[in-house]
Amino acid sequence: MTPQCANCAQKMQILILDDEPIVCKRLRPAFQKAGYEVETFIDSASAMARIEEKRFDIIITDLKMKGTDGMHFLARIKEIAPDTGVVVITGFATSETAKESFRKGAFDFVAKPFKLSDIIDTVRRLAENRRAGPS
Amino acid sequence: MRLPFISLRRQRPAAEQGLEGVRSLFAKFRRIQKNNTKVLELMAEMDRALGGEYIFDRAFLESSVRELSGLVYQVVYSLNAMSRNKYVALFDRYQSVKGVLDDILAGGPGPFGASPALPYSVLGVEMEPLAGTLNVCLAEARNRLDIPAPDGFAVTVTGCSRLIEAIRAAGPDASRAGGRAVETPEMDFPPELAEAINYQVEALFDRCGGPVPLTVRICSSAMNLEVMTNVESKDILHACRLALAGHLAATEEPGDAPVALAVNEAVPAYLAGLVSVVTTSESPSGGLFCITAWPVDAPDRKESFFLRRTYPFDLVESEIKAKPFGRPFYPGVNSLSCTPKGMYRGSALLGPSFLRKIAESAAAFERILGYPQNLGWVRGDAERPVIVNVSPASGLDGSAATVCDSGDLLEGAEVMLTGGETVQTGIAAGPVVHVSESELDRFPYGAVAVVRQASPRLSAILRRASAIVTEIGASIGHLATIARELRIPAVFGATGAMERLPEGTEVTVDAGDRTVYRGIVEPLLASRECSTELYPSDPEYVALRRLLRWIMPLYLIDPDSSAFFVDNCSTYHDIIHFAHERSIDELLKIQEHGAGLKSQYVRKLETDAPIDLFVLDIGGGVSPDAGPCVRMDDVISKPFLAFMRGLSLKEVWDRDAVSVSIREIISGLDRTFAAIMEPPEFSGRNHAIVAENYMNVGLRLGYHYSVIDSYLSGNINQNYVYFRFAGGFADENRRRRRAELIRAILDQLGFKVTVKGDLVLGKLKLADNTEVISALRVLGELTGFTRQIDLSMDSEDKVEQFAGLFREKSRHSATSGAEEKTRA
Repeated sequence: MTPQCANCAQKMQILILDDEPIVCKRLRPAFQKAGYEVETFIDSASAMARIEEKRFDIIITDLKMKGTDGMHFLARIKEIAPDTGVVVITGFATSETAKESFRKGAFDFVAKPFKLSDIIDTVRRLAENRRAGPS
Repeated sequence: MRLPFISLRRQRPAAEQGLEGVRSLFAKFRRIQKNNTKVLELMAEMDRALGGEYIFDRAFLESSVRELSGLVYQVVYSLNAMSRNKYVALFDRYQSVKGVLDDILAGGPGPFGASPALPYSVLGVEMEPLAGTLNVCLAEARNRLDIPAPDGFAVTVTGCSRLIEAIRAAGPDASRAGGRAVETPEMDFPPELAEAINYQVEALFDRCGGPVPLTVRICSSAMNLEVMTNVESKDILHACRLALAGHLAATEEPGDAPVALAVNEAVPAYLAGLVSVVTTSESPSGGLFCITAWPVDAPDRKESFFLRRTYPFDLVESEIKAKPFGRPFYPGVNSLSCTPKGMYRGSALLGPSFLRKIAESAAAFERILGYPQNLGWVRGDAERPVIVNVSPASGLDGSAATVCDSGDLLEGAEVMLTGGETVQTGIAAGPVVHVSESELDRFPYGAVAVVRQASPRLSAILRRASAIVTEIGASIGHLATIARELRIPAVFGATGAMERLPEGTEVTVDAGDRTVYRGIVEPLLASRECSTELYPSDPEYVALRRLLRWIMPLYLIDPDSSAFFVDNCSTYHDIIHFAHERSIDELLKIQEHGAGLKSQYVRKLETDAPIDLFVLDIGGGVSPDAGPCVRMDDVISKPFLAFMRGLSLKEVWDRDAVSVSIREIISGLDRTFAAIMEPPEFSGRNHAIVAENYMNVGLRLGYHYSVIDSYLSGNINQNYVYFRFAGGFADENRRRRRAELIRAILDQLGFKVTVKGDLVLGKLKLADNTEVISALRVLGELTGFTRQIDLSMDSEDKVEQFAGLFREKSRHSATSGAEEKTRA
């Protein structure tokens, strides 16, 4: 089944931000194959500009990137579109960063390296939550 | 580097110090085992990442290497602490490997980076940036893929850079003249490069059994048909210079793209040709293999063949030229052959079988490099094509950002199996073959192997399989590693695979999705070009493979080999394996720290066995509630319990007393004196040093002395049992026969046994807990059974006779034990 946004017949829109090109390169076809519309960014400025102009259902973002702070990006997403589901991925996972991510509204926090199937399952759960709406 | 502080004063420790010494020795041993386990787990995690199922980045590589290095350092430190710094040189080996890993992580060229020329035996796909696609492909073909390819060596990017500098220094315009290669002016060939090339030529001639004509090719991103053939060794430097000058002349932006040279033995051939992937409006969505062929002496007589890209690589279309009557294609094969009815029948340059073999090679290269390759091949006298040229097919390098929607890809596809664990991602199709380990040689090329269990013996078929699915098996282990090295799509642990995937059914395996579809799902196969795989062209893949090359391989396998010494440790795996083996050797000397055996902590064991045995607990081996005498109920040590269970069996002690002749007494006197002269605190005293998962038992029964040392961790890689048995009262022949008897029994238990005179050394490794427990029990029985048995071994047939008797008693005791257990 192709994942669709909560109130329309469109495919769900995902934005992926990670300054490591290999992560974007591999996640893009994985989510396309799973039925999502995907845009990837390796620099946070472009991603930031994009979220200002387009609404995404789900955003997957790295936390520690060259020249930017993923927490700041996460906070900005929540300012612009509070109902956007955010999954944080990081290679520097600590309990503190995980707690702060959740406090800032992240849906889940995934430590690298992670299995493709795990991140897809996480996003699927997030999509189902969004479809079910606020409980 | 910090060495463990060890006092060099050799003095006998006080009882209390001795106990601490024993405990400390064991603690270091356990630290080595614990760190080894962590290293192996980290190595497995890195190896799994290579399979494409995990998303990782450079941070993962850096943190993994950092953690590995820390653990390996601890292992080396602990071994030196155990052995009074006997292995200080191991720190040098550690530093050397760590230096290589740090260099690779920093983007450096690695240890081969400065080499101007490298033989194919050391090349792998991860060295493509240094040696060029052609060289690494020919090397992989020879080293791992079992595809015929010429031997040779690479003049690396480093070597070519030096030569290019020399060419330019000789005259800036010398190498460019209207886009064509020209004769270069006289120049000084870089002496180090000349020496390296000449050395490799000599080595190649040695491997070929004498001088052979050579070919020189440029390794560049495009298929280069310019080849310098029949080059003699005296002309090799000139040929290399010409090839590079020609390349510079033809290149728009000289010097920008790194370039390497391939120097190969020339392959005698009658036919030559190319393979490429073509896509037409009528071809399947994955395209077709286009194989062109021409006689070497008539390149204009080209014929073309179009084959499907999945096994069995059916011929779809061919363009065959008319050929002159009576003229052979090549020796023994004519353009027209006479049928039994006297009719003439025309032939193509290539038959279906040979075409399939070319396609098999093309599919193998595509798999190992992750995307289609253009191949150059030749046909000589052999039945298989020899691959002589390889270059990436343009636009098919897996980097295309094609949209892949599973809805379109899988429309109408029937799922036959789902589940299991991805070992290597990838998509492949072929007919299912249920593999029997007894018929591995008959496994057909291109089939999907379906097996019950992932056994290392199946490695032999992986080169031929298009994919592998197992019912039992995990993503770590030998077969998994081979599948990842060869990039064979693999799913392990898929329950019901044998039943749900019937023999002969055509299937498509999507290993990343852990799903098998019925039939050839063409759109899914075509989606390989935009899959989520980790490609060999990805920098992270290259870095990981380069790192693993200095981490994973185990070259030091046999601890009894003369090559098993520090200087030969060339990977982290070698270092930890070396430390593991030598730490056991050090632990076997635990009784040298034996002042502890006199301490107040040594307690007598109350046992049914007719011997006095004293126990020293060094951590969790005996219940804290035990009194001054340890009862069997107080014993916690798992290996010691198993051993005592065997040692306490009455049946094995119940042998007729043997008569000792005057001759035996006289011949045994020297050994009696030797026993008397031993340090008094140990002679005649049986002792067991025990911990929860460890035991070291020294027994002196009569005139023989045995040591049984075992560690039972639950980890098959760390479990071991060492058994040492020597001495006796009887003459040399009788003791030798007793040694043979023990060897026969240990052989059956799976021990690796060596016998030197009356000394028997047995080692059991890579055994699971059940096997170790069982072996220890039998060793307990054997200890009782063989006491003074040497005196009875008066003829050769006694070896078999006593072996039979032991088996009988051992079986009897096992049966009685089972009955008792049932009654209980």
